Amino acid sequence: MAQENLRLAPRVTQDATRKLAEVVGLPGADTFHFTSGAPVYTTLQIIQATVLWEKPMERETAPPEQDEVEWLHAHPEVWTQYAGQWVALTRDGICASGDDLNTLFERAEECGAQDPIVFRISASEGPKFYAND
Amino acid sequence: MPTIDFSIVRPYVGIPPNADPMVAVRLIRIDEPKKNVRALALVDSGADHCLFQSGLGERLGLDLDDLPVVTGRTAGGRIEIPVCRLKVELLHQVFECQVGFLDEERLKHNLLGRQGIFDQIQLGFRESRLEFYFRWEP
Repeated sequence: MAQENLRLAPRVTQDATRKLAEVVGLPGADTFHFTSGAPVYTTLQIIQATVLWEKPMERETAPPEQDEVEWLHAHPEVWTQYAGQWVALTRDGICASGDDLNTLFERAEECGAQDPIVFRISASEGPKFYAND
Repeated sequence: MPTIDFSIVRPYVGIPPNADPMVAVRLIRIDEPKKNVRALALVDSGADHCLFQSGLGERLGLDLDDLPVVTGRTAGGRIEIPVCRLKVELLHQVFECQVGFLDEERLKHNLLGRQGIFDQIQLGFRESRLEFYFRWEP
């Protein structure tokens, strides 16, 4: 157990030990640090505190599509370049395009895209929704 | 003074030229969750319901001709829209709602409408930054 503590200790900052004190309700965290050699906390407690401390809210809530959205932000030319086509978007960018969804997914699979975001880029501007009857 | 607390801030895709707000969603069949597809959808508070392009429904294995229909009112008149209850995943949250399908000639963008989504969340925009503010409470 002591060896495990020592192995984990470099990852735990003094701030984290304060957080640990808050989490597990142990006293003395303000003055505690691991270089003192005192095995105050168990490995499980250290892991709990490290995970809680090192996992900021942003990471907890970041959606899987964050990279794709940011890629699209950086590449507005997509909206004209692929006008009138279906496109498959991965975190690396547009991996495939096609006139219909079946073609699109075939091409996306060929390029190794497992779970792309697919959407169709309208050929022309106009109303977002209109009846054609 | 009342305050509004939005707990999640996320960038959205602003479609040129008007920066229309699009977000990534996943459509999931309730009866067969393995059949799902990710798509972009316009957050449209002017739409009563969620509407998606027919190709996505077909990708989910739905027979659109066999679905119940509702009569929708559009800018061009009334139209029959096949509908199906699906799960819609948005930013890790899953909502169950009725989704209608229209061919892409009539539906330029997929739409996230009020019923099923807007009535379950709090939502704000900061268009100058292309950011959404969400809170997962009705």
